Amino acid sequence: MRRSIVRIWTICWYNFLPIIRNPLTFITIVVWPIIPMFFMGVFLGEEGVRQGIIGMIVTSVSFSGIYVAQDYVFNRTITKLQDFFVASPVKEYEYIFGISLSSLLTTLIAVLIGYLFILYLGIASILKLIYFTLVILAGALMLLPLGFLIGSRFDDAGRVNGLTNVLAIVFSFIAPVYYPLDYIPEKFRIYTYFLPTTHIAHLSRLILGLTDVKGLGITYHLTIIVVISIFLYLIGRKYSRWREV
Amino acid sequence: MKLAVETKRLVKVYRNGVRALDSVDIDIPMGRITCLLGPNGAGKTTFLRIIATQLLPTSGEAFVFGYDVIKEADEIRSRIAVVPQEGRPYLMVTPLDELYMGARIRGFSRDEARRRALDILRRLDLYEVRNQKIIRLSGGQRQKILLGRTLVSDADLLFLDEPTIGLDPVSRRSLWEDILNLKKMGKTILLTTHYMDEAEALADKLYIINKGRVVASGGVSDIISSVGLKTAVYIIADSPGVEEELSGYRFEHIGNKYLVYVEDRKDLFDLVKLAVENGYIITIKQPSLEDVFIKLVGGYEEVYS
Repeated sequence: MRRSIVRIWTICWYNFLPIIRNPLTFITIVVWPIIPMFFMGVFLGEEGVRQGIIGMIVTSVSFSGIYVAQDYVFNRTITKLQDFFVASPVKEYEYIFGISLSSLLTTLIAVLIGYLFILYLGIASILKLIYFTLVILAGALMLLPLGFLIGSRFDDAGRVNGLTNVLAIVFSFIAPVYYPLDYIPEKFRIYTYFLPTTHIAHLSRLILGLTDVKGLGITYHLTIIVVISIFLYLIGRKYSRWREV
Repeated sequence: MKLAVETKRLVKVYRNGVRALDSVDIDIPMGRITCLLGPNGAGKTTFLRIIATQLLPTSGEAFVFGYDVIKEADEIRSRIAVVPQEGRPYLMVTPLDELYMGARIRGFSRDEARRRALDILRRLDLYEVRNQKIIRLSGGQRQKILLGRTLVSDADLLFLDEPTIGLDPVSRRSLWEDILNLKKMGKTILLTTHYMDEAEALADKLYIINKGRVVASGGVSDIISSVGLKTAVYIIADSPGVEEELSGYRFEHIGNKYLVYVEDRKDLFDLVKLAVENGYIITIKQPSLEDVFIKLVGGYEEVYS
């Protein structure tokens, strides 16, 4: 167990090093989710910031799951790091946890900024913030298998980067993540339920009391998150490549 | 001699129908350097990836230190380390980071991992650049870092998949020295390459692979002598009568350069005498591994197309 934790942390640290040693990339990753919140604040005032914070945090953490695809394909096809790890005592789950954790660490600054805003604006109590944290972590866990699935099915890192960026746009702007579900006409809301981040963002707003729209209700949104997570996990497990066939 | 790797009738057919390995029997003795030599696409990397537990075989058996690669992969993985083909280190980390990571995932403590990493960096002449970002280092140094990352593991069996590909001649020779030093340290090494000089310089045992099959195996000199190639004699002569003088031999020529194949020592002696008496320039070339390789795999055109 202890050896596993050391390996996970070592892989996480090693995967994180190139990001912190490249400040421009790091700043871009941190700042990107903050930009929409900034403009929402400028044009919609404090209510815009309140809604934008949720978008910023959900986007940052959930997308750490999807963007894992980029690390995964890069390590598999460009650096051949995966081959190096397969032929070592590192287990598949240790590797996956390691690079997922480094992806999550990358988003930490944006998340901390968001939390400071939440506390400063008095949006939520500490207890609600804990529930909120659990929900967004569930979002990251939900999208992780999708990230690994994408990273394992494509051999071209460029295509993976393109696909994850398109997904990022769909999941954070088409889905009501930066804005509440209230903004979408009722007859169209059903379509947004097909996007996993809708459930994360709406559940977050329900917990923090930032929306009057019930949506499907907390229980159903939670159930959908769990079902999508299990589904993506099973698909990801079936198609992931550690030892190749 | 004890074997580190033993395969029997190993077959690999990929999903697209490509038969990469076709009933391959290969033995890799402990403490030696074994080379797999073959053209691109011959099946070298497929073989290496199967015994490195990265790829499952279609059929046949493969054992590493007596452990089955399919059923006992975990036992094997703690005893091996790989330099993958065309692998690259992260460019924004340092050589020390790379080797430290390599040691930590093998279970060494922080202090021990650091000590081992620094020790290997010294051995590979990378100590001076240990804290520089890899992006600033040469291709040869980057390749040495990958080698160091496997060395720091203290694994008994190292797989080096075309480790010198793309390196300049000086870097290649420097890496050869490092590989020979590994043998002195008691490591067993499986090296794949398509460079003849590399195989000649490093291999204790050589397997020539083509189209998924082993076409020759043994020591380098054994393989050369077993193929029965003739000695090539090059004569450069601008005398009009030279073709008549060579009429008793099988020869071909381009301009003034004549290539004569001889089978016995008497013919060779006669040709040397002819050259000396007439003032021709003569060069004698014994069959090389490259000649053998080309004969076995079907000629330059096929190899390098």
